[in-house]
Amino acid sequence: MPMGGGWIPDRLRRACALLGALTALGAAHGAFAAEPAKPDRFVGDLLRLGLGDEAGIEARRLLLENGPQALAPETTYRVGLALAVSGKPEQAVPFLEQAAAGTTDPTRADQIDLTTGVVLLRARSFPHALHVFARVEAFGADEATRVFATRLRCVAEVLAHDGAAARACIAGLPGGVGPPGGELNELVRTIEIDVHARAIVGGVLSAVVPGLGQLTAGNPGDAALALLVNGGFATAIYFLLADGAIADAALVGLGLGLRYYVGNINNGAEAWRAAAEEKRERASARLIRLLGPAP
Amino acid sequence: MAPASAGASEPGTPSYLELAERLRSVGSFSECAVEALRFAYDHPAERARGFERAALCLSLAGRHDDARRLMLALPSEGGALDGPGRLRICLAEVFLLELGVPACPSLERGAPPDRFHALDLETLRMRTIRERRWDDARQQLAAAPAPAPPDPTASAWREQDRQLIRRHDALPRKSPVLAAALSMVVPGLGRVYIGRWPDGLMSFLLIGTTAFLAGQGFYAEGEGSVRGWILGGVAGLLYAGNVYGSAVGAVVQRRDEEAALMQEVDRAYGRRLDP
Repeated sequence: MPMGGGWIPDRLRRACALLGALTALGAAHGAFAAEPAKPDRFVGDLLRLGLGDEAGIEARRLLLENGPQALAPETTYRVGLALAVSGKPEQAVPFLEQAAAGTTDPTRADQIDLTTGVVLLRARSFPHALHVFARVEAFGADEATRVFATRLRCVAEVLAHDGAAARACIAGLPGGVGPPGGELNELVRTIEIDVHARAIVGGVLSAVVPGLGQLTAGNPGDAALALLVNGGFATAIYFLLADGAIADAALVGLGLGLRYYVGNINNGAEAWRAAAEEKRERASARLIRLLGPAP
Repeated sequence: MAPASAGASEPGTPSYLELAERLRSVGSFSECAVEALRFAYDHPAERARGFERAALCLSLAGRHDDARRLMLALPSEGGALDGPGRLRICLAEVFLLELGVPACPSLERGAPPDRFHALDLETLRMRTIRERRWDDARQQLAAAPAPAPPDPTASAWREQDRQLIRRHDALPRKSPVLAAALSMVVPGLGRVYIGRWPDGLMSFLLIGTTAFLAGQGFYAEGEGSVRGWILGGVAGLLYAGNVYGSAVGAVVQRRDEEAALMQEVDRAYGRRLDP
């Protein structure tokens, strides 16, 4: 399964928003009944002071020295969320997994698992995220949570740019959620674009006609400049050769012109790569929007 | 063996604060902050001290924002903001230029002024220097009264800031207009003027050779010489680029030197974090 390419800030914001929503769900649910023990209190102090990293250090120490019972699941969950929000998803996941394991309410445990999956998406650990979502989808405590898990799995497939898996997942969503067949196929084809192959095409086009790669990628200004500069050098070299000034033609062509020609090819390839990535990200965003809001 | 708390310390057993100091000395700043805060919560009477040490560790880790927030949270955590605590906030704000309204000038200070009050005032000038308001910093330094009470640290900071301002005054101030004009007269001379003589020599040789070949073409084949026109065009482009490059070089040179000076300022101020 591909691990995905670009990871645009919008995605991160969306993942954070989802994390926030899941946190609110958890708070509203109030599944954690256990009163924090004394060691918990210091971890809570660190969290209250906004020191998520330090809370993680202390929580790890407590768990290592005293075992999983040293921390209440709520505290473990808060430490995991603090680490996730401070951009350390790899460190957050073990805490979230432990919080889910220590929670007695199955619905709450499912919600924490889904939070873990979203954190894994932030870490671009798509196979692990898919596994988490699929597990909740299969063994979730209630229907609404299972459907939500399915949607999140579809989002993960889209973000991983796995077109076939995304198509199958979206088609399997209950209640006709997702785009109609024609649009779905088009969007799925788009997220499967091979960016590297596109870049090669752009480079070849610019090698054949300077600026053609830039022009076809939608950068007419860059295309005109490339054509002007390389055309100027080509014209100069032609006249020099026609004049019999071989050495001068070599000086102008190899000494100056070649650099601009190679640069033009690189620019053409880069323009096609950027256009393909943008198109793919737009299609991913559209697909995720069409999957609809959380139930 | 776990470090002893103050109430139950055994001879030779370090406290959590000592453990924090050891962790700080080996560069484990997050762990240092944890231990200092553990000390703070274990010893309510010394909470301010523990918070201040934790904030120092956070500052040393480059987390000035966290350090400032920690110290500002101290009153709500049951501690009083004392002199070292205020200084910690002021020092953190030296590195937080994006702050709209720094808290340092408005912190309540007791009377009579202590050494921390004097150092607080020094941090205001440090912040001005980091904002690159060199003229303001020079005026502040000239108008500043002698530290009261006399404090060697404050005096040393002032002297170091004086040296930094002098170094800023000595930064090269090459005129971009003059550099461009010199390169117009003799290609490459503008670059020699800004101190980059190898670039100047290379520009002179490149433009000179191209122009010479162009002239040779015109001389041999007359006004209709293709070689002359093409090489003349190339020489003209190189000439224009060299004039422009000389002007830009003068600006960039000053910018680079100032950036190097600012790095030195940051290093010097980083060393002041634990006065």
